[in-house]
Amino acid sequence: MSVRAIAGWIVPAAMFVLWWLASHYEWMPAQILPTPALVWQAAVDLATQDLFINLWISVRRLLLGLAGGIAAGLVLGVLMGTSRSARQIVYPTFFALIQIPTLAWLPMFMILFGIGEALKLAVIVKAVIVPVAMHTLAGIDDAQPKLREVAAALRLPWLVRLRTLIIPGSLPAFSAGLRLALAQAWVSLLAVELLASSEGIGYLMVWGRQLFMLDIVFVCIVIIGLAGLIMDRGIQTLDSALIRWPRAATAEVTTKHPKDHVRLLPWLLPAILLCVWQWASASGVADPNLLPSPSAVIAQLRAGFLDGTLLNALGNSFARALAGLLLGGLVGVVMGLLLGMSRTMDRLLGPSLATLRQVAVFAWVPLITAWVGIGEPAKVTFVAIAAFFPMFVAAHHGVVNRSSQLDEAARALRLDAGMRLRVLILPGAAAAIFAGLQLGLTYAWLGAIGSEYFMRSGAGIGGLMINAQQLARMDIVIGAMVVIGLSGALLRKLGEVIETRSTRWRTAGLST
Amino acid sequence: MSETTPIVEFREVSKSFHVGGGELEVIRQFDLSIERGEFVAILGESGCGKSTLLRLLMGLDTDYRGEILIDGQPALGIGADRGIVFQEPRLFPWLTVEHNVALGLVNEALTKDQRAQRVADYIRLVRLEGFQKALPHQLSGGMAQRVAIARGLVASPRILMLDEPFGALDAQTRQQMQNELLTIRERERITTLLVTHDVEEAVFLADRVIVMAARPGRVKNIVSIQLPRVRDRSSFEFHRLRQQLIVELGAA
Repeated sequence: MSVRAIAGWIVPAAMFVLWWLASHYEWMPAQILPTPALVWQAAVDLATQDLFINLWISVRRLLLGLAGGIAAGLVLGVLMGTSRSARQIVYPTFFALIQIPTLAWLPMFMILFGIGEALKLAVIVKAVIVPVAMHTLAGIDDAQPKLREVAAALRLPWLVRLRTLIIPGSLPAFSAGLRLALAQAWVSLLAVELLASSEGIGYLMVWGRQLFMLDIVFVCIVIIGLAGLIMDRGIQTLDSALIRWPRAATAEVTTKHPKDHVRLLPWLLPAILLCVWQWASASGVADPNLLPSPSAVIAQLRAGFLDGTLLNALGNSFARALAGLLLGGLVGVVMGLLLGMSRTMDRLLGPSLATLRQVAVFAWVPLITAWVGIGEPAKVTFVAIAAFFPMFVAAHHGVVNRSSQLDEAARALRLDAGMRLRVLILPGAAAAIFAGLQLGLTYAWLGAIGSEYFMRSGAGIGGLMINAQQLARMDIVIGAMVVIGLSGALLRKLGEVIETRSTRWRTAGLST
Repeated sequence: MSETTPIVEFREVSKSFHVGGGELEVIRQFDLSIERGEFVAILGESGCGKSTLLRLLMGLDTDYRGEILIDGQPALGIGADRGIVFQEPRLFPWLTVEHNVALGLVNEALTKDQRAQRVADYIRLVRLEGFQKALPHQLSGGMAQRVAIARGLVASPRILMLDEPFGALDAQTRQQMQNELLTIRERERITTLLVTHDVEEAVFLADRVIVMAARPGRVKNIVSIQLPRVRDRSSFEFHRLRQQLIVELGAA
């Protein structure tokens, strides 16, 4: 075993010793912190009983949903990528709908589909369609205009063109989308299993948590992390087996509007949908409880704004997101800088963090509710965990990927460590950190909504939705979805503005 | 079609691009006849529309005024009689050398064996035996450009268009490739239209050099190069012609 590999085990080993000591001398009650022996016993017991049955149920849901989501995403992506008019009609509506995160669709799906298998399928399909469609579209768009010209000059028939240009050209983007889709599907599935399920690995955790058998919760966290790791590795292996040519610096998957819209066409689909919706609920074709009319939703929104409940909920959720982002982001950035600058720290902590990152974020919920409760601190803790990883990764990336040319120049100028930190490392990392802030903001916002689903105390937009779901108040649910979509889009815009402002020097031609 | 009909004829070809709200004229009243087997170089600084002329002749762009004739007939669309090599090799990164060259043959009615034979022939012609199974990223710039040349020639077009094909190569490789191009042409007797901004390249390769003026692109002068091949780059005549063309280019 190399030094590197051994170093990676030091921290986990130390944690384990600490854990053993803590439970052995009962620094904490055994119910709060089960002993390693107990957890091991639970693992052995579960392995012979419920664990694999429930894991298999979750995996089966995942596979089914993936199949459906990939198929639908591919169709959508190819349609928008190949037909100009299809894109003009579909894309704006699609774009508007994806502003609403999967998590915010949950209450609506629960009202529509109940809490059976259909719900899980719907959630995963929703989580998968978006990245697959967007990346497929980007891949097709990206299929090198220069090679397209060659294909035209060689008069390649369309089948050959498809085989030799479009498919391989969009494969790297598709693969990236697939990786994202898999991760999001796994996270979403866990969320829905924690919230509404009677079987599956997420349910097993809830069950363990309700009986306050944290040993079971511990085992489940490990299994969820392992499953995440295996899936991520699997898809990476598949990717590098399929794509053996150097990939072009892949064009960013932008979620911006294409500029060439015809004025009217984008409004066609929403207008039709709205009309059908209004007609269906007015004529009684759809159950008004399941599908309230658009005017009812607007009236509900208006009322919510006027009596202040909506703004109050929104403000509370924002405050949570911000507090969690500050906490998790700060720790993340400091850790990222530290690990980026110190090779020793990287070797010690890098592998542990990389492993923890594979644990889908909702898997921490039962542990947090057991340790911190369901109040404000618990919610902020959850948001902080959600925001930690994007900020950590961004900061680490920013330091590690600094310009090697400038690094050489700094060494040639014999700048000391402090100077190098000031003129080289921090400015480079700052750009990456601000770029990461965009993702961090999104995660924190999602985390805040999610935390309110699972820790039901205090006002918040997520709590508002989940309460409305229990009363089957679809008008409130849809109204809240609209608000979440708008505020999410606003946050993203804010992140973009911060990023372009903070990295303005990039256009000044410092490198080259 | 008589023997005296030029193989390629541009008649008062003009081309504009729509930029913003207005029109940008890039080529004005371009006239040129090319004889069978002739090697013509279009020489001009960047932005004089010389690459656009190739794209028009190739049929990649059909929005222009004037006429482009091939064998006295209007050139319609992209035809098998024309092959093109771009400045960048533009190889498909996921296909092997062999497959990239074979793409030039997809529209030819050939048996599988004939196809394989042709591909092998042309890979040999550009001296890349042993690299049939290589992927483009495993090749040097010069080798990649040779694959592109093989792809442009494999369908035996009558007109070969070269769009600054050696512009991205280092000086030594460029000279070597120029020599090889002449050798290949010796065998193929193919009408060649080269676009370049490299004066020496034009003098070394072409029978006739069309000097272009920029903004809008138009013919400024036509210079015949009568030197016997292979031309000696260090000869007095070569230098004199090079000097003359540099002056022509410079005095806009």
